Amino acid sequence: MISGRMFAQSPIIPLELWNGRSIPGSYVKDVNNLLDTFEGTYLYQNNGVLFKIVLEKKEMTYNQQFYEDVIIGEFEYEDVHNIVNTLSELTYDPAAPLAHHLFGHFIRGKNLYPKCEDCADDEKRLLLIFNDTQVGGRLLLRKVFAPDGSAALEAKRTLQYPMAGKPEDFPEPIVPGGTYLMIKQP
Amino acid sequence: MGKQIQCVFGLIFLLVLMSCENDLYNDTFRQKGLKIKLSAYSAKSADGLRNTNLNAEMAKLRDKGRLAGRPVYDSVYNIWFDDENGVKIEAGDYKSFTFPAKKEDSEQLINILFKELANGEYETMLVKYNISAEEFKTLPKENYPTLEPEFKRVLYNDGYLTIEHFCEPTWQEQEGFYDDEGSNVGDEDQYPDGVPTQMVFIGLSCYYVYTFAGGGGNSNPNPPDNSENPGGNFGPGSPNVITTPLPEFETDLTPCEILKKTLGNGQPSVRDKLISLRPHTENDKEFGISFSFDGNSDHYENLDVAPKTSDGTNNVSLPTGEYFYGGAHAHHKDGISVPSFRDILWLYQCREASITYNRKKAVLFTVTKNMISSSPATITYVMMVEDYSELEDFLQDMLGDFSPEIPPNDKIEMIMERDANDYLDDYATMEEKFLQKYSEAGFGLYKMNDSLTAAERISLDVTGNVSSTPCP
Repeated sequence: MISGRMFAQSPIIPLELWNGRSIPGSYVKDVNNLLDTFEGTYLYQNNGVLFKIVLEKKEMTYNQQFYEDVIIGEFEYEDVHNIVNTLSELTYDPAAPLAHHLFGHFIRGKNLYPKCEDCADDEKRLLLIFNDTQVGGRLLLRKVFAPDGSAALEAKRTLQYPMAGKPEDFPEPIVPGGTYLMIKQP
Repeated sequence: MGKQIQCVFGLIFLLVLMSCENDLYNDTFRQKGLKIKLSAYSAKSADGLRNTNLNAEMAKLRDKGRLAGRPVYDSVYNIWFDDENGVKIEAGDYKSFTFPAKKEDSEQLINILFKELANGEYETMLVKYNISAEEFKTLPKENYPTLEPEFKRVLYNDGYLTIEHFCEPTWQEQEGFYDDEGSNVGDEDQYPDGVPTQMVFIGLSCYYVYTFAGGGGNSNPNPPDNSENPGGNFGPGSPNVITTPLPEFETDLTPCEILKKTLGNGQPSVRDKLISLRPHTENDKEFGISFSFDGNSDHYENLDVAPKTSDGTNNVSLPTGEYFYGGAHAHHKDGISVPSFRDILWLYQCREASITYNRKKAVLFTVTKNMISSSPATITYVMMVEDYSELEDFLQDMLGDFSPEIPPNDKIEMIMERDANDYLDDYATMEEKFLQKYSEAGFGLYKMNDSLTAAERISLDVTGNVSSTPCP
């Protein structure tokens, strides 16, 4: 009821049309349910590497400036060097909605950076902020099909080191940069 | 440097200032659990006469002039120091002696500090402040943090000069004075107008050491003929031990003048480097160049993205530090065609980390692909700090808009992605949108001409349109 009165005076902005600017009290809303299609558990398993992510949509989270629908997520990664599992942190805290290793709601069309030559004209990708506990960066998700026809995500992991710094001082990432084909789990 | 030592040095700053006021304290006061004992000190006192190592160190300064006695003349730096009105500082194993000083033909606030070494001998430091002694007398204590003390270690034998530069001191106002037991002795009877407060250093956030190679240089050949008359008449002849002059960057230059100076006043170095970045705007990863000045010459280093992560990152990182005054980088082919939020953050970090003579010229060049025209194929933007405090406040506000539980790097990523949402739907308005967001952030945005021989400051006019003002 309170929210309804509030948004009677504040704009609701469709997520895919949001220009990224903060309008206090506004609601960046996933009116076309684009985020729903990315929810779920996805698994990459190959050559001794296990990489699992669990993504959940949360509606009307408040980020201290405005309201927004977001995807939050946690991950598990295991290879010969590392075993990291944050899946137990998936519990949602409304007071700290973005306190997760994966979060975001940035919709990227075919021509938005990073451009996607293979994408259909109306295809929507989802870009999340991804901090693997050692190195921050992004995870760009594109819905695809695995060779066996099952639903999957093509997940491109990019690392983001501080602008100021020396590479030799940077930590090694837990999840290396690269592209992972992650199969949607039942 | 250990935290305790930082505190000690911090307190030294305070005491140095106190000594200039000739306002000496025989109390011990407590500061964050570290007890510092202060006492008046004279080289002519019984205690002073017994301190043979300190006297030997002080004699080195005296010996540089023809005249000994008080005040003592030192021709090395053309400085007099008052060896009878010093402050002795003791804190644990730390001990030093600070004396008021005056430099020939200068009103700058300076002190001479003798620090006891582990072997019982002493080293001499010259402490300079960016304020005149006269101005300091009326400077409110709450303004002490605006002072930028600069330490020079005085070495006599080989002509070398080492600078220790401490920056960003943190001050705290402390009420009253404390005795050895930690009790406040500043009672109301003693101070009918209220217990006085002191500004006390509680820490330092950075610490620089710089060593000039080589020796030589010029000294003033004319020492004073009357040591009781600082700044008075000078006579001929004096030993020359002065080292390489401390490079000072002109502080009154405008950003346009600094930019012109950076571009070499006709020397091609930086321009050539910027031109070499242009092809990288067609790459799928960034490339950069760092600019540094070590007191003697400029240095440039080409920088690729971090090699061990080259498959997962396309953003170059540029070093910062005392010697680094700037950098340049090319955004990759799919990057935005204006500087990014990370670029602004780097400019701030460069300015913050650089040593005094590099600080004023902090600069970041961003070479981007021209997204709206094929001619010229690239655009070179320059960002320069115009109001450091405003820039710092702006960045803090930007990052403060996010919940505190989000790691800083993730906040930066969020801002970058929000900006991308704004920019990438219309390349033609990218510059305007950048200025809408960042035109009042304490830095100036400049755009170079294609031959990199001229620049113009771009901003939004009263109607919200992009306008430009050419650099003279």
